[in-house]
Amino acid sequence: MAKLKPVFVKNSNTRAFDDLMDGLDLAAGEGCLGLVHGRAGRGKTRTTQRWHAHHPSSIYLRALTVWHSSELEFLKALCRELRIDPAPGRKGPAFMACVNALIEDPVPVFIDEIEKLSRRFLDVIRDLTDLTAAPFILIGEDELVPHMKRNRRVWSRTFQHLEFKPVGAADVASYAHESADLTLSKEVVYILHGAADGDFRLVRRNLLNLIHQMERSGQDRPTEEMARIAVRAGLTGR
Amino acid sequence: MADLRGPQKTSFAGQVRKALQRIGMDYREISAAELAHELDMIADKEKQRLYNTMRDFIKRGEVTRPRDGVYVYKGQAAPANGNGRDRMWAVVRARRQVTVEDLQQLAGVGAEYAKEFMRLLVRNGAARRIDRTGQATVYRLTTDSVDIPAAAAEANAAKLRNIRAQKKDEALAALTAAEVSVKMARRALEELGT
Repeated sequence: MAKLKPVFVKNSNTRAFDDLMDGLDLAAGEGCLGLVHGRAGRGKTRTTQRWHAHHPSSIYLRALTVWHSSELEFLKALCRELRIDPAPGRKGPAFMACVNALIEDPVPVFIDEIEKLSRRFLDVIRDLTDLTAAPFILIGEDELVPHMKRNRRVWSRTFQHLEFKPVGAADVASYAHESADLTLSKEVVYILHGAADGDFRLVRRNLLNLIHQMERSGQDRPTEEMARIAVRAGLTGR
Repeated sequence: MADLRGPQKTSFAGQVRKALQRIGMDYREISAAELAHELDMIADKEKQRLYNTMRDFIKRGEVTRPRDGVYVYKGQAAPANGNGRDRMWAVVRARRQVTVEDLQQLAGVGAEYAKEFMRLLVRNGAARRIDRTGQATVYRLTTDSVDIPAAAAEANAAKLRNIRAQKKDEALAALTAAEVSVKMARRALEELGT
């Protein structure tokens, strides 16, 4: 069975993410919001989770639809991450408990899929970062930007703003090389890249299909024809 | 063009790195000739030194070579923070559902270490193993605990201590065997000499 090596391939998006985190670090003590957005499949969540894993004191929360009706559920989840036990059962005390813990230790807080939540949440987050100077990094898809721009007070506090760009042709070549020791010709790279529409998941899927094609035909160098078949197989699911 | 004879003492690797940072931003592909030109290198002997340095960079993951004679600068790897166990726990909690490959990619640990960690979480009731035909096994977190379950943490530490002790014993045994071989060889040589 075709398999890719489990490598985390760095590209311009991951480097820009590191720069964003460095920028927030330089602004430490000022209180700031970071914004990371882009279409699905460009690696926002995995890049964030990797950074979080390498900085385990940071906090990662994925917004849940059930929080939508009340900020209390969000504050309780944040309390749990801040090891406030038991978490207060009312909004005001829960908010103040989070503020006190973050003043004590202003660790970065990531909130993924933030667009699921209503605009009221942005005000709560703005208050948290203002009062504690802890950086809050909001991660979401493209609709997050107008969502935040509608709230001028939040937008003006957005210190770092990063858009995850589509995966480039060089990233496809690097990924094939690092994950499968495959050196692809420019033509094959362009076929895989063109079919992926900037989505890393599709690059991965088509690369796996390409390796299947190579295994089936017993060849060790991928041809353009194989790449086309691999892409077609991805589209039809066969 | 880069001046390599400035008053500041910079290692050769440092000079190559600076050149890569200048011309290889945003993961642009750089040809070997372009890099040699940036470093003002003409003679083949000089270039050989450059190729050796690039080989070291590739081994360290700082540079990749998608094709012969073409490089992509990836930047220096940041030192890993936290221990492997903490990094894995952060990934498991963030994703709630992980594969061993996820842990390898995101926490930067080896497959065996990741499998062992997940086995311990399963044994301690903190995760459930879900086998899928033809696909990687998935582990689902079943606890809301912020900290690594104590039993898993202790058992994991004990396991790692055992692995280290076992490796140390193996290394010592290999060393003793080598010493014995050297002694025997020396004795044989002495006998030949007399």
